Amino acid sequence: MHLSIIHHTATSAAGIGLDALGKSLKRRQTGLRENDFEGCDIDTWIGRVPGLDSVRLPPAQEHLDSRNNRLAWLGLQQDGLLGIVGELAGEMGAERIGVIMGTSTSSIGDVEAAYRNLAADGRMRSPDQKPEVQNLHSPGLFVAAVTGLTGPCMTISTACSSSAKVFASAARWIECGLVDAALVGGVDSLCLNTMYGFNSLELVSPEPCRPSDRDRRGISIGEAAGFALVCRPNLLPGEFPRLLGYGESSDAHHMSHPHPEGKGALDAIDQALGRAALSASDIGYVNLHGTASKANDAVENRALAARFGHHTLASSTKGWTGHTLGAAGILEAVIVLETMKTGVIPGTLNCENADPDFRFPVLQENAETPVQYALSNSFGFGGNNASLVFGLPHD
Amino acid sequence: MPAWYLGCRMIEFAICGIGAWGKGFSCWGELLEGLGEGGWREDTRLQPELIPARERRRAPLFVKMAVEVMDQACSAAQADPSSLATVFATAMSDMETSDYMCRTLAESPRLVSPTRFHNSVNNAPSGYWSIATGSHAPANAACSYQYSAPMALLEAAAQVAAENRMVLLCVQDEAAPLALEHVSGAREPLALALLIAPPGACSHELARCRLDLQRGAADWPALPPALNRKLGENPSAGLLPVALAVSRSGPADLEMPLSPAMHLQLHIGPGARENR
Repeated sequence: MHLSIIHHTATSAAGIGLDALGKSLKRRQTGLRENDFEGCDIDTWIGRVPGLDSVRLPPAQEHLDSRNNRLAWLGLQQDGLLGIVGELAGEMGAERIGVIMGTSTSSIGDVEAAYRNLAADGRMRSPDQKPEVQNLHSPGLFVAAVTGLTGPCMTISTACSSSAKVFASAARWIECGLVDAALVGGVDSLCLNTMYGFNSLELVSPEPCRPSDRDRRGISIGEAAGFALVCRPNLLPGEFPRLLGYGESSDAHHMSHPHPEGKGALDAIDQALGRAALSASDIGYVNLHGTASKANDAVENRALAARFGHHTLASSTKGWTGHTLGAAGILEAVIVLETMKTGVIPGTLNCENADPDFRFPVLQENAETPVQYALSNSFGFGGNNASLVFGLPHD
Repeated sequence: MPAWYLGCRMIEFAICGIGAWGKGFSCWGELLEGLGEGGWREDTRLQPELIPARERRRAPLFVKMAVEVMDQACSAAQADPSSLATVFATAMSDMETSDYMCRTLAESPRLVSPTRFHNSVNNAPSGYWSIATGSHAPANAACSYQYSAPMALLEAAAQVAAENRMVLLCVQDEAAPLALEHVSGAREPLALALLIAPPGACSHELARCRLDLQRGAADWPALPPALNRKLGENPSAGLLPVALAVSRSGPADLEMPLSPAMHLQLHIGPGARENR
């Protein structure tokens, strides 16, 4: 099942909305900054979306306020997405459009704050109690409420592959006729769980992350919201880019370390290519998971070398955005869609000296060339992998 | 209605295995037995054999109960666990680990345990399951808050129908810690697994089901009173009526809410005779 992608948008440290993202990518301006996240004293760099503190949710959703939902709201308002969603809902009925969101930590930042203020008996104080916010489904609940979409609504949380897998579920739901369209997306925001958690695993870089660099020292944690409105092909008149294939797999290796030979990664890539009925040589651009952790980049490069020839360009864009965890899948899907639209292929920002052990050469500088088919990788803890193949309509 | 409205087609699937674990019952059969006069035991041990002893000590309850019930559902159907796609769903995720993380972050953030952090990812059960079974199959972990159980059935059924493969579904929620009691009223843990398959794909069909998506609200199907008192507040109990109807093996029609605007309609009939 292919999906038409009617519209898409993303908001991250590299820009609020597509225009700002495109400019950052083209000018190679990073969105990373020294860690200034409240309550976090880790010596690192972060991909923080500016101005979230002053974002206000619409009055009807004020009770759903959290940093994560503010980021979702900021992201939803970009690039005319809400208008297009509303138009489609008016035409086909709000119940025929599903909502599938990806996140790793949902609104847990709100729970963290409440835990710093627990009552003496160990319970959360009444003003801090927000059941609809303090659960994993918070992004799905908020997006459905604020868009008025009433189709099936689900939040996927498979760590850093979460918002890539939203496309796979949407494709299946549409194929089964459960819905005719879906608003898919992902939102993850900075919080102490991930900052101190990744720090405890010694995976956080003390400098801006340097994907595929021989001296890379770990990840820069970022935050992002991204969305795509997808529907059954040919449901609407006009030519849209398409999701041509998805692949999902498990490593069966380790909870926080990728399979050394990239077995799970290759499974996901092969499935996505298979569903798209394409071979690796058809792929013009690969947006790498490319977190800048020692292990991820080495394993992913091994997997790429096993499948792709050197005419396929591959880069990681995390030097611009940081690793946005549960939002990385959708953010990088949007970057791929923009790359296919503009022909501007982002290189790998902050990769100065490519790792000499890598057999597959990553693109370091930006390039300009048309891309017909592209692939995006997202790999998560628990060995949870997803790959997506996108394509432009043929002339 | 616009010309391009394609509508929902019914999804047909078979249920081929059931696994269950909770306080006082260590498998589905014991849950059913407890419905009788004797009731359930006081407590139950949980030692999923699939997880090596060393890993088992580090695994939270949330992981152990999922792996245990999934193993049971697979064994019941004599299915190869390494070949099955999985869907894990929970309303509240691993609250014990969330509670630990948020408590530690409030008190001394630098002391967060790396093991407990990697256990805090919401797909931790699927990670342990895939490592224990050597499965490279796709694994999803989903949440729809109080509607997680029926939503998970919908997601699993869509995988069965769209990809023509068997899917192992696990819904689970644990008792809420004090600080999270306002978010979940669950007082006891429950994990429930169903092995579902395309019709005719598995030789152990317990029941055949037809699932349809309908507009409008629906009430939750009633549970037997004793079970309702025990687990009625646990969001994962939303799938118990399905398992109970399968066990009764007579035809049944259930409605389950997906949201205030939508519900699932599920017809449950006998499994194919030649496959029993």
